[in-house]
Amino acid sequence: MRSLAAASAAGTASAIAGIGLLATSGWLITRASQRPPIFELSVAIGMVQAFALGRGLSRYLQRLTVHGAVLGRLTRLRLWLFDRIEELVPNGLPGRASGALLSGFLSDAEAVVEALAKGFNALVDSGASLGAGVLLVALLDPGAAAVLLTVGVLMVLTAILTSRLGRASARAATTLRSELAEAVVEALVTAPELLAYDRQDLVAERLEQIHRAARGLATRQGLVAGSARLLTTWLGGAGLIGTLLAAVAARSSGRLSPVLLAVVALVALVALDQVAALPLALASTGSGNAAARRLGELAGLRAPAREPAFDHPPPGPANWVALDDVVVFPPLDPGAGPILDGISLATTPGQRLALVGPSGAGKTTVLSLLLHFLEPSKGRVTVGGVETSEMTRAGLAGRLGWVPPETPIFSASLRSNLQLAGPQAGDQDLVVALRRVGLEPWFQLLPSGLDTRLGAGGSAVSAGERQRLGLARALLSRAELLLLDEPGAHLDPSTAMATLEELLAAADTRSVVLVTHDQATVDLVDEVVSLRAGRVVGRRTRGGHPTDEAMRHLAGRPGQGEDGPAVPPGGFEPPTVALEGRRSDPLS
Amino acid sequence: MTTAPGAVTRAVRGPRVGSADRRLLAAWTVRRSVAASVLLGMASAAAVVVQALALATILAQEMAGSSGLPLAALAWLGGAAVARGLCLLSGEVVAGRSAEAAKADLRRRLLGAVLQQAPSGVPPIAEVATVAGRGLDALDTYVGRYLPNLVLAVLVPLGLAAVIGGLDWVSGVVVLVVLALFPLFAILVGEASGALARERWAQVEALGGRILDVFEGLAVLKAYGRSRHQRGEIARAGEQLRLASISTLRVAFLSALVLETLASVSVALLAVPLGLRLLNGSVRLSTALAVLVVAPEVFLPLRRASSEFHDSTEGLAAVERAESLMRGWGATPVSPGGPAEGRAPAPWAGVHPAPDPALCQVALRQVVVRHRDRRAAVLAAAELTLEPGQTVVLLGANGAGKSTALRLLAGLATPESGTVTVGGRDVRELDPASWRRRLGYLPERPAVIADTLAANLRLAAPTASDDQLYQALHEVGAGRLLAALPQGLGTLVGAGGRPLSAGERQLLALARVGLRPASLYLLDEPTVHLDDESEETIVAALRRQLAQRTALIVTHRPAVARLGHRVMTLERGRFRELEGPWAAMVAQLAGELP
Repeated sequence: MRSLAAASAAGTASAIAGIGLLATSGWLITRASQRPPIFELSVAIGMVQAFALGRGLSRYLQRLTVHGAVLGRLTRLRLWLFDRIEELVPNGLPGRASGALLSGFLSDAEAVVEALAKGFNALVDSGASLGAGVLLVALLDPGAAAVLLTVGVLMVLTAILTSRLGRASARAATTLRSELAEAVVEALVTAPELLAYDRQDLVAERLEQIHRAARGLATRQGLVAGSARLLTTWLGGAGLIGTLLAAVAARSSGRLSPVLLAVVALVALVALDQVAALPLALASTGSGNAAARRLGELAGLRAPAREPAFDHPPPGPANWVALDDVVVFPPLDPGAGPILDGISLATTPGQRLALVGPSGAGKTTVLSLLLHFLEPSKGRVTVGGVETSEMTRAGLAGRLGWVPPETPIFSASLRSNLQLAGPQAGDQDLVVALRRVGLEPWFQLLPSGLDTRLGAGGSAVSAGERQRLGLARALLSRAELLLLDEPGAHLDPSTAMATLEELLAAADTRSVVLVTHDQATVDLVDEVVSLRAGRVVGRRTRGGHPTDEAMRHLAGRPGQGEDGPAVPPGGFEPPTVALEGRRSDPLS
Repeated sequence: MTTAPGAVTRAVRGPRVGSADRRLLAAWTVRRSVAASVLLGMASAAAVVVQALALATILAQEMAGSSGLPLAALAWLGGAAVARGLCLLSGEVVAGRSAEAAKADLRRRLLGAVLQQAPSGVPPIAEVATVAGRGLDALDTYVGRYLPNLVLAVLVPLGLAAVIGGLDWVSGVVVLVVLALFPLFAILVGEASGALARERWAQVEALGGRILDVFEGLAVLKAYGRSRHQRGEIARAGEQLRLASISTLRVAFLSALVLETLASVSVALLAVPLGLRLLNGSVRLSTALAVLVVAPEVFLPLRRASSEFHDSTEGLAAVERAESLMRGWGATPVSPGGPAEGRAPAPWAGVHPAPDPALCQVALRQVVVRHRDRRAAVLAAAELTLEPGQTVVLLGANGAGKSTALRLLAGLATPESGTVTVGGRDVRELDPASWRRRLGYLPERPAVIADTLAANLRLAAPTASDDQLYQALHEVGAGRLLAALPQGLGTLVGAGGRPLSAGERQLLALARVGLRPASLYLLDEPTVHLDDESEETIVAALRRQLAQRTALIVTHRPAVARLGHRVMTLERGRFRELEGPWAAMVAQLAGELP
């Protein structure tokens, strides 16, 4: 608040300098035409120079103080974002918590505070100019000041009202934009067949329709914004004439000298010009509205799980889990069908369970339930015999070691990257964990051992090393239960297999729940549960007799693209980013 | 992608004007409307001059002690305001429309280019959609305001300097000198502050990256109960970021300070000599007042253009992103200048009518295809011959190149070397339309357009009757799908209509293939996403249809694989035939799969 007051003060000083510059210059010139002795002008000459220098300087100060104020707000807004996203991630966010989505929120926060700075500057500039102008004119001729004030206030009101008028077309623009996104996605998804059937014209046709609508909308928006500028400019012209007429009347009746009449006219000119600039300045804050709306939507999202106040630790080791008739609806779109539809599962202590099935079957959702990222609409989820909703985040954290498909590597030292899961672990423990996940040769080659910086700007980490680091983290967490989600997602099939084998060997006696779409990995676990469309469609324990080993190889890996890494798992569905809000299953 | 505050980013990055502008202006409608914006801006500046002259006349008359209202001058004053308002109104409309025209032009070219490449791989759909949509919105201010203002920043100051010079040549010279000083000062300040600002900006960017980094890993931090700890880190980094940003801005705003100061000092530089010259009567009062009122307007377009530098960087970034997608979405080229699979098919301009593949051999001869992001060839001198009437089934691991082989035969991709032949003739010598009429192609991702089910089917056969459509649907066992649709063939499907499941899409695409009078079927996983019952129906339908046709079928499903007269696999970029009875073949293959 204090910094905004300083910014207002600087803005006012700059407005006064602007008005003072033209007023004293005008006085200097008109007075000089009456040929007074030169010393009478010397004060005015000094003031002209002072105002000229002061204007630039006070503007500079205004810019700095305003940005100082909004940057402070940005810091707080970022922390709010952190808390909100922490509460929602990963299941409560629309789409994947991808870098694009998150940096979108971060730049939205910037856009909001920037619009705040612009809007503030616009209002201070026009308000202070009008106020200073009216005060100065009032000292010389109250009648002219009344005209100036009336017209100025009318202009401000016009500018604010018309900027509100533009919101309706802003909504239309949003609709049009999502229509466009859909058309583009459709065009790209259908491209091979359209080309094969020689019907590319359909894409061009649909695009042309949207462009026609966009042209119409642009014209409407231009008319709204333009009328704001037209009205304020016309009002400004009328205000100048009105002030002049009042001043001329005052001069005729001898209340105002002709030199001061010139001052009144020039002050009115500058003040009205500043107010007339308001519509354009307010329009430039428009991008902030869209950003604020997106943040508002984020604020309105329901958290998919609530942390209890007190931890209820499991009585024994938390190395067995159970899902009992669990139903889960997509947290963001409960109207859509369930992701999990009455699923029951149970493991024994130390057991290794693989969940297999095509994309969208609900495998990752099971892990999210165990991690208490998500709560079931119906049924019970227990870890070590206690419902996950009874355990605090800290309580669960010590018991579950999670390795997501794209384990994040933070741009920090290798040590802090590993200690993240086990802050108590010493260097020796870290090296042992690295050895157990097969990273010793890699570690030996690092330039500064545990102090080597990883991530952006640091040493490069390959997809395989990333997964192994994720597992090292999980081992260091001392969890008795490891949750591995698609450990081979970004590796070629043979490497994926070898990595998984090593990872499972490193897991040692710990219980494991493994999510994979690759049926070929099933020989490495004790039990395989096949999911399809949120239901269990098959179970097989080790020692059970698979029908035809070879057939499984052929039938396996549905939903994989021919181009390997170019296609994300589940890449057959239209991407969700472009179709905001249409997705029923936040997981893949 | 940076989380450095936008203001900092923009204040530090200088303007870049260049070839991207020229490419943007290439479209006639864009050029025309930018020119219109410039004309309207000049007209608006002219109205300001009229206003200044009228105001100066009125004030001079009042000084001379004239009685009566200066009606003529007041009328000019009002007229100038009316004209200026109209200029601004039309300017807004033109700005919006020119931005829209530029966006439409770029979008058309982007989509055209991406579709050209589409057959050779899966395009980054989300990215293209973002760039074509929200990404191009940065052009609103760039084309609508920045580009015309750039021209106006040159024309208006010079024009107004000429007007001032016409009124009083001494003042004209002063204005010109200050105008000439401006670039000099800008360069000096830019030199001094630029290096410092860039250095601090790098720090700002690094901090922004660190914050994003933590946000991206938030799920893991949450799982390990470390988010509290990291929140403190974010708070600290945010505070550092704020301080670094402010100290950057302190330097970056210096150039604006110089510009503002020059603008207001020029008013003082004009007013003081004018006052002194009025003392000895060497200049008229009305002239001096007119010069005084016009003077602040001289620098206004320059200040506006400089404050819109940000829009220039954002707009150019949008154009660059779009253009890099047009060039190709692959990560890196295989070798400098080397051909990649992703390159757009070269113009295919054959004229010979295509022979019937049901009657002659179709073959791949010594075909080489490479993915742009992989060094190894997907198909390396691959040889495959389809005898007339034969059904060949293609098995093999993912990424082995099976779909690529289908796309080559469909004429949707071009080999780096080698040829696709039909009846011994290079397929590229054939009339592409006549070749495509011979094909029934089922791609990896069947198309659903936002239209009725009938329109979706008629993609393949524009003239088919409703009866034929019904028959095609029943043929592939889509009777259940049809029964589930409220308006039957007239039901809207896809985006905005009834969404189709992956299996339903597959059925739709298969029905489409059935509608073609095709004699070569190229099917990519015809029963993927289908349950066993649907698979049976489709296998039965295919068995009937394949009797008089040649076919290449990629599949992982045993039931479909049994349709083949021959079973092939792809390994290390070459086709290899699997011999012997079915079970032996499968065992043989299974042993070799990773």
